[in-house]
Amino acid sequence: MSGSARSERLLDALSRLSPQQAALRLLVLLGAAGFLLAEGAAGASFSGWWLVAVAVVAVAAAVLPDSFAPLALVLLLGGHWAFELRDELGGWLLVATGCLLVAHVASALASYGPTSVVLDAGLLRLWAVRGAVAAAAAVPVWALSRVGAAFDLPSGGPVLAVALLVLLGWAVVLGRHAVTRS
Amino acid sequence: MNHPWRPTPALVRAGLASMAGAVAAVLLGRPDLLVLAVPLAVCAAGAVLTRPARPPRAATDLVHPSVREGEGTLVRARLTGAEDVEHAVVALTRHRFLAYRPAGGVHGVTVPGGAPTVTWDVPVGSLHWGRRLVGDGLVSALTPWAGYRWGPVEVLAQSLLTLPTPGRFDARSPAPHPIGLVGTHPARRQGEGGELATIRPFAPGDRLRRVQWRVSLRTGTLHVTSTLAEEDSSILLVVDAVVDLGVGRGIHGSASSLDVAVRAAGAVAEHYLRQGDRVGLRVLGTARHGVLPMGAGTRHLRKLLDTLAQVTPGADRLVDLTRLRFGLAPGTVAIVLSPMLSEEAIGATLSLASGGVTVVVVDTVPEDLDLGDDDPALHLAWRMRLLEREDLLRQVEAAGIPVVRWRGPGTLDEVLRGLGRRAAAPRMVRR
Repeated sequence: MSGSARSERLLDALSRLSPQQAALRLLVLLGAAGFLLAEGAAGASFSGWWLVAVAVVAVAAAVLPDSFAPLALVLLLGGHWAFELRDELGGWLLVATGCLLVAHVASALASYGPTSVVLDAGLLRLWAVRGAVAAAAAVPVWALSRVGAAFDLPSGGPVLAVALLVLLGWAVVLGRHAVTRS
Repeated sequence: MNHPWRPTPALVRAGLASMAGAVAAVLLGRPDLLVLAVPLAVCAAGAVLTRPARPPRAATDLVHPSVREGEGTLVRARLTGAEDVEHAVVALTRHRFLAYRPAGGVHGVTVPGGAPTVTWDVPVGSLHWGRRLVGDGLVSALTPWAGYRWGPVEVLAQSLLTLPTPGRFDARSPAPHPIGLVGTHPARRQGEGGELATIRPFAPGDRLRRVQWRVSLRTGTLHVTSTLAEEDSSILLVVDAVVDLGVGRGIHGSASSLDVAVRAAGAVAEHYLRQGDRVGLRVLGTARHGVLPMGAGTRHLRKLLDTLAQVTPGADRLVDLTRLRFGLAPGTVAIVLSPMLSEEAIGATLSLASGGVTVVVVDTVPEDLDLGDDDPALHLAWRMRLLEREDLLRQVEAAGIPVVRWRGPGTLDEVLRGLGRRAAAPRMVRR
């Protein structure tokens, strides 16, 4: 398919956007914006080109939620946090985590079907519960990290141990299920 | 074809980002990165742990294989082997003269956990008569946590027959030559019926309840009232599908000449068949499904509407007038529904009239003809064509064939009354 035909098809699909899908795509943008605000409040600074790049990727993620643009957005935001902030364990970290999760969940929901699909309320409620569970999982890790930082444990040992455990467990899960069964 | 489940970009995103966050947290000793990664890790774990075992199968079918214009039916999407499915979507291909609800033809359904089969319906309305394909499109399914996607998989189309909705029609004039045994039209012969024929002297075999006492007393001899017999008639509908003028935009939009002809034929057939008459159909310009012999009853009406629904305009323009045989019984009334723009239609009409059949031409050119283009050259060409048509109509009228414009109820009243009077009038015969 040529580039012009592809863009024509994309515009055609966007013209049939249902209000619900439009709201979900707006949530992707709001999630990214919320993350940047939380990051700024936590002390990060932004260059102009960086903000432009994030804006472009965020718009791409909102327009094409079923592509790898949302992955690029998550990696860009997470990477910027890693470079700009050092051991930031304040409340803004939880806000940023929530915003990142909102962007991810909204992208996932926006990719459930064509642009005109309307998801039923039951499914949206289910995803609200899932989002809450996922967000809640971050709180103990955050609390543990805060405790570790408060006691000034050497080189973040407990957190490192938890991270290693999570990483190992996650690697095992992915390794067992990585091959797609048909 | 067996379509596999594939990981979605959402799963890849959650898996990679959480992995990257965890690795960075460990390598850099940054617990904040781990906090950022944990919710995504939960999403990825949820998706991976509900990984599907086997792919489902999808199909669509129609709840009703035939509907009337403007009516709707349901496209039923069915997913079997759906134990691992959380949400399924069908996106039906949009076709002309079909209206879906929701308008885009996209309908999703959340599957109750563990259900082996899930069906969901997409209402579809057909806005124009004819046979068309419905129900083709794409079906896809997702597992919980949007982890794995099956499809989009193509589903095959089903054939939907849309019967023309007969226009409103009513005729109060009887058919001019009733020829059957029983029916509702007053015949020329006397017999059992409701319409007074004459009062005549009593003859053996007359029923006593027919005695006209007043006349009998006045004349001194017994007189009886005689009535006209009531018979049915045969109506042949000739639909001209050689030419289709104008743009048909469905039941709620403008109509082409063939739309008018088909809907008018349906209306006339329905009217006469409900009266108990026999109705046949001949479609000019269609090689297949072009002839329906005379018949009566509601089942015959259904057959006739089926045949009308399959008319294709201009499918076979070569109507061989020398081989055209109608094989009609005497007394049959032929109603030619045509825009009278083709030599074939004129030839067939004159051929019918020369065979001794009573012929009425119903002009089916719509009053608000939509040419579909504002090109001045097209409108000029159309005006020239109308001049030619007037000449052709003069030929038809010169042969004693009445031409009336279709206007629904009462269209044929005046013409049939005139033909009835002409049939009953004394005529000069050669001895």
